[in-house]
Amino acid sequence: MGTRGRSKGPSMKIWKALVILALVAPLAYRLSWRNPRKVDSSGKTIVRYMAWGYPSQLNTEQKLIDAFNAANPDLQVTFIMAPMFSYYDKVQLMLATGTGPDVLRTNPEHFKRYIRLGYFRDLEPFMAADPGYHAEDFFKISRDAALYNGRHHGIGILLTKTLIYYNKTLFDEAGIEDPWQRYRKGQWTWDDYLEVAKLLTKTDESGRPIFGMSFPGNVYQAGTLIRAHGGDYLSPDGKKCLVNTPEAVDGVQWLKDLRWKWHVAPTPSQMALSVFSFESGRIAMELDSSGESPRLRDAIKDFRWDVAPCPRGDYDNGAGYGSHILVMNTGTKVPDAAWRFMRFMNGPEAETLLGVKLRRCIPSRRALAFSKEYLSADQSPFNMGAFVADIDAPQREFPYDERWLEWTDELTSHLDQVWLDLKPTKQVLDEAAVRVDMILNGETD
Amino acid sequence: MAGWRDVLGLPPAGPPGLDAPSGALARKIGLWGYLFIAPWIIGFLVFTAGPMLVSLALSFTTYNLAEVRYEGLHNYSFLTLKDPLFWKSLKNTAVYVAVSVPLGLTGSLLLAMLLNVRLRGISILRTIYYLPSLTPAVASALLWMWVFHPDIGILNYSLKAIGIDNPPGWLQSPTWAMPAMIIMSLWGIGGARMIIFLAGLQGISDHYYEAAKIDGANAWQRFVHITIPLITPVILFNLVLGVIGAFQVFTSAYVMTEGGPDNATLFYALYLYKNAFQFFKMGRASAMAWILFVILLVFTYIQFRHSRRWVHYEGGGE
Repeated sequence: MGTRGRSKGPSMKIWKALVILALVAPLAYRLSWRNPRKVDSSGKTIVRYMAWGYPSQLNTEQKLIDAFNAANPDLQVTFIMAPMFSYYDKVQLMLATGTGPDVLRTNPEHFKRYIRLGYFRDLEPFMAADPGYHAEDFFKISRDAALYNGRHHGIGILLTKTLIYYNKTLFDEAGIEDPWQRYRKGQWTWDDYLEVAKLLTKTDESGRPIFGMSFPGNVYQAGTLIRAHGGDYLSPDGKKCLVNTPEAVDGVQWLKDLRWKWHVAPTPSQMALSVFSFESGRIAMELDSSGESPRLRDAIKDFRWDVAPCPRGDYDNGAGYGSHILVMNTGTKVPDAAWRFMRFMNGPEAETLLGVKLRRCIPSRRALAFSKEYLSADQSPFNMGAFVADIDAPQREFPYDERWLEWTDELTSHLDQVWLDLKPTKQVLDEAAVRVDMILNGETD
Repeated sequence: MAGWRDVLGLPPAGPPGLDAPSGALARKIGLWGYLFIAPWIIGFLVFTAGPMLVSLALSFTTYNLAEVRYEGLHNYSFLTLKDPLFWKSLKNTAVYVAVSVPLGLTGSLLLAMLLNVRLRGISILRTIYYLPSLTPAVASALLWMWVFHPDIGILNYSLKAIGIDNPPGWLQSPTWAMPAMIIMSLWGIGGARMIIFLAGLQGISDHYYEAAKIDGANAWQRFVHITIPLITPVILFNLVLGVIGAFQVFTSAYVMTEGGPDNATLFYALYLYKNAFQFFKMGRASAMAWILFVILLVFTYIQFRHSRRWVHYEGGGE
């Protein structure tokens, strides 16, 4: 007993010391924590740039960064690459902990909500102070992509368009006029698309099916078809979900019928793991972004393929342009250096490599997009006119509000029920509208 | 009640003054002891206890990484009263736990018994069976996606070969996605759980089996009346860890189905992740984490409480 009593004193002191140490340690750690260095050992200003992409695209971006570093001896740009799968987890944690990159690429789905969180800078002062920046050089769709409350919080980069990729070999074998020719004749509507898909759906000699199209069931594709039928996801003020209006129900039903009524698209089981992907050669047409072109060029060796614009709907021109956005971290300590790098990545040299040569995107500069070098291709896709067709037509961006990811996640799980033919379309969309309205009205906060 | 000397297997202490250190020596020994465990204690307080307390505080707020607003019990009331996906994810997880844990425990025990024999090269066999558990979770999930492929997967290929003409759609079917997840969980039966069972089995003295054989007990009777009772502490250990691990299942659904189709594999941890990292609802996600913590606490308490009836410790200890 006596021993225990005597040893209690130092034990308590040591415990107290440990607890104090534990409380102080994080503070000391935070105080000692240096934000990413602004200057490297040779005195160059460091600019940290972060992006995701396919290997061919990232390699091209690395080449551009090397060229920029060589031409700007006072700066050193370091490239942080992250896979798309975890890109925004990483971005979010880096920004929240004050270790974010100086410049990063984002997509429209995340752009506005990050601005609302205060992470991206208003670039208007930089644009106004830069005599070399001329807004009129760029397509309006590219400039508008980076607008928030009427002010530029980024620069449009990697302008893309939703296109129809088609297997030209299958079209030629079937003796069917291809989508590009049909488009040029003004015979390229969604009904034409369906009729062509019916003609191309067949079973090959081995007994395996070839489908007229892949199933366009993600929220972007479904949204395109809803708009083509005169509907929309949300009301213009973004406060009411419209997926259960007759027009939207028609659009979703039209999509569902591709699979279950007309059998021109693979079932969910067949679609698993891309066994019936476009590059497998067992899909005649696919609705996808122009950004897929470099990947498909690498993957497809056994057949000829090309692109055509999206079909027109009765209520939609099918233009379907979109853009990534290059943004500057609000917390950057080197804003001027960051701006110089952003201007380079949006400049003629970068757009020539990424757009004209790699054909990852459409140059956001009008002069480059309509240049002979860009429009005349020596490898697939050859129909480069499809990339810029309707580029000046009126655009309707999807409603990428701050709740976009939440309500589209809810909508996706409901659309699953339609695509799997579990319930009637109208019933599912009525249920979806109730849930999406709750999200839009903040009832799920 | 067993003291620390009993635990360490030391003989009883002598008279005070002869055995227990005292005074400066006791302080010195205490100081060294605390210094040795200080790295762990500091690590625990800073990296585990601290964040836990912060998440508890956040669970009473709305926090979107930029603004924090105190909301009282709103997150808890919303989840339990207004959020159907909370209950859906909890139900999915409960089904997964209820089926995968007993199956996994049984599989691990059977495998451990098969590997608990004296054979030439048995160590190699044990290593081979352990190998799958070394595969990174994402890699094995990708592998299983191919196994479950409705058209070209080896599972449906085998089912067709034995005459099942219309095999399940597995991950593409709301009905079969959960069974697929449970089947995939059996991939881990050869891992740490099996090793612990094996250690438990090897701790059983041969004398018991020899005596039982002399008394005429057959293999089944020896298994039921000797093996099982003597490894009940190991079963309890694996059961507790298995339930805790299964409630936190995440990677397989995240990689293979993203919670679909039709939320059929929306597990609790995945829904928590979505709230935190997709919807920026850190307060809501923190509340979910604390609800899960309480659920696991209750389950673990029940298991320990109930274990008094069926877990037998050699020497009668607890």
